[in-house]
Amino acid sequence: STGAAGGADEAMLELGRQVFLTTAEPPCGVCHTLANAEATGTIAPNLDTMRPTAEEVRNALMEGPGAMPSYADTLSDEEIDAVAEHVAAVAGAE
Amino acid sequence: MNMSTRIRRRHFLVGAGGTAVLGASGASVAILPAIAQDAQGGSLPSYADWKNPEAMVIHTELTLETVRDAIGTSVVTSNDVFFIRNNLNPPSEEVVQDRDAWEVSFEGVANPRTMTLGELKTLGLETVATIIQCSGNGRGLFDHDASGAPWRTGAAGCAVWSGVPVRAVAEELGGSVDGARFMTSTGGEELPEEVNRDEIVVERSVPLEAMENAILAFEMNGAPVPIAHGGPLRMIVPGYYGINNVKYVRTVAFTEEESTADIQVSGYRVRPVGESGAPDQPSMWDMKVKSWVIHPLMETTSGRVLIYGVAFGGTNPVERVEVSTDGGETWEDAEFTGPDLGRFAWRVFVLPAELEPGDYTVTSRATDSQGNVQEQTTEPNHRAYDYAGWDRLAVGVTVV
Repeated sequence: STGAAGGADEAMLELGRQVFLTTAEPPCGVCHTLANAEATGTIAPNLDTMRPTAEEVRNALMEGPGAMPSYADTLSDEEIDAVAEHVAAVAGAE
Repeated sequence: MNMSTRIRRRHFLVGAGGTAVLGASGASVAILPAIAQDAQGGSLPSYADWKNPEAMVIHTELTLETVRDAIGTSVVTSNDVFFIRNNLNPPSEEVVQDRDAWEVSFEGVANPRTMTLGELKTLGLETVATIIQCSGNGRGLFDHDASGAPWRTGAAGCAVWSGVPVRAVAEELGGSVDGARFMTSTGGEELPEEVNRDEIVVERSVPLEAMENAILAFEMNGAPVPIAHGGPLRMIVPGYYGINNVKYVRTVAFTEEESTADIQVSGYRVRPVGESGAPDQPSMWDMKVKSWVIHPLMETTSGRVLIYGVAFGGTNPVERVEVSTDGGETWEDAEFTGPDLGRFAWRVFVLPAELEPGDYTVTSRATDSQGNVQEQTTEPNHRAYDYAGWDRLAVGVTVV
């Protein structure tokens, strides 16, 4: 994936992983599979298959398309950027 | 290049070579992609691996679009090309091992209880032809970058559904409770415990009067409803956008208030771009009048050309379709062809035309029985729901 081309550094990616697994409420990994984060949720699309770009993840987090909740009011911009870069960087990589 | 950029570029590349041309009136008419072929090299997800890959644009595992002309002219859209939009991943094959054992709970009736599909099948049988159209059909025709699949025309299909009339079930259970104003259907997906149910449950309320036509469908176009389309049992609310036709339906409740699920409260609400969803905004319930051409697309040979497509009026019969070959400058009445399968189905229309070599902007405009005319353009709405304007549903056709 080229999602991290925006210049995400290691700290940002680590923050993204934290948000993905624990900070977000509900955590992304409860519903989504993402092998790199050892997340095995099955109710929502498998991110390793979907391989979204950072922009697509950011949009989805802000909007909450379909049955997905919006995180616009519960995560900071920094957290949303971090999880978007993290997912884009690792999805489908394993 | 991200996925949506890829899709858009592909669409424009297969169009008339440009993104817009000037109609004879000087009005800008967008020339949108005639055919959206699957150039992504994606593969069908396992739950839908029986679909015709040539006819499907795979946006994601849960969003598969029908190529514009693959709906054909038989009125009924065959299952192997019918679009898919699932909000959550579909359940496993286990749910169709013993279809008649599927259980549905009925609430908000005098005698609430749970019934199996086998038992439901003794209460009545009704068949209805209806269009299922995703709320987001045409999202890819809006200019703003709304989240979600960039559907063009192919998040719609027309199917014949057989099932148990909901009103027969309500009658069997003593009737809906006093004060009930909505019929609320809940999907049977098993949700993770860690998540607040209302945040992700697929649960939709529709006005109670929709019950009159609603069926609990177990058959789609002559086959048991595939899991991909909501089998073993799907709530079919004729004339209503796809989201209200709840798949894997587990609970049907007659309620005084609308569901508290996010998907009802703030999701599927029509509002200006940039505004948050709220209960006082219009909900995506009954569909609006709409039509589009499926032939010719892109290029055709000069001489006699049959221009055809599909038209519908949501919950009203479609009464008239006009066709334009000059971007809406002049119109000619088309004729309906094929059987009329009722007010919830679409009609196939056809107009024979003599076309000289040149570039044409071909589009159609439907009118329903109430005099509602298909809009010229659809104003942007935040989630980019249902682009029904004939301007951007037009196709650029080169006649050689």
